[in-house]
Amino acid sequence: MSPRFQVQLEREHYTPGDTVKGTVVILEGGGSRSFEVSLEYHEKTDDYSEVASSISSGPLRQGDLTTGTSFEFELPLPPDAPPNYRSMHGELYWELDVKSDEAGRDTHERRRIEIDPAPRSD
Amino acid sequence: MVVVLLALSIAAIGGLCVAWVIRLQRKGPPVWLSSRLTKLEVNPADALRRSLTEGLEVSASEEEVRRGEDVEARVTISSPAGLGDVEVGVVCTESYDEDSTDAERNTSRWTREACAHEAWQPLESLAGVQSVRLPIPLAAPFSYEGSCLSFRWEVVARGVKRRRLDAQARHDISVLP
Repeated sequence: MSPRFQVQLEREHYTPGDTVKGTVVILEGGGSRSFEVSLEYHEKTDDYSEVASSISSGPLRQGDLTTGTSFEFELPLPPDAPPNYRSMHGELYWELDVKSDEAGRDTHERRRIEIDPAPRSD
Repeated sequence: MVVVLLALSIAAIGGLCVAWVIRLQRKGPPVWLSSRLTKLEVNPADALRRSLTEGLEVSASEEEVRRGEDVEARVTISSPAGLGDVEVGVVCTESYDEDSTDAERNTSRWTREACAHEAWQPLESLAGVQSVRLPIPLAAPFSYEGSCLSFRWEVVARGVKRRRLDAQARHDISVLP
């Protein structure tokens, strides 16, 4: 049986250089080989999607997940992290991906986060 | 008789060429040509424009500018004759990948282009250097070069001509978020 989890973030809006902090609560345990959280910058058009950059927590746990346990994570955003942007033909956005690597199909819980432009220094 | 036929043929070919150039300028290349040229990253109208752009140059005082700020464009007109009405602007071009299906239902990946932002200001059609400050809107895209989605910013000076291809000079700038 696939595990189910819930992501709790300290906040929803960030600026470049901030650290994205949060907790993943395992709502329903299950078989897993490895469990990790990553921040990904996506490019998306109507027909294509690419991950332009990715920041991973590394494995938070290796082995099965138990109901009721939780994992804290901290992922630093690059100081030059580009913000989210939606255009006529595509979109650039940051997304948090919580992934349980499993023997069959992996389980993901994805959450978009807002990165605002860096504050002006002058 | 032969001379008349020859003259008529040359006039017909010339007329077709003019009609083709006007079509390129107004509507862009047809789909069959556009898809081939996109792969080559050449726009036929732009290639023709470059050859018509003698006497018109543009540069920017800043290579990097942030959204919400102005960029100063410097336009040098060395020979105004034949340039038409000159204007300068900032242009952001969005490049995006999409699937295209041909008549045999084969699907392939193409890079298309669309104007994401443009704003123009008129200039005097006089020889010399003119400077204009052009705003980059806060809500406009930032410069970005990706795998399937990109945004390229340029300062562009153009000589707008009626029923003829515009002269265009372009200069890349970087727009920071």
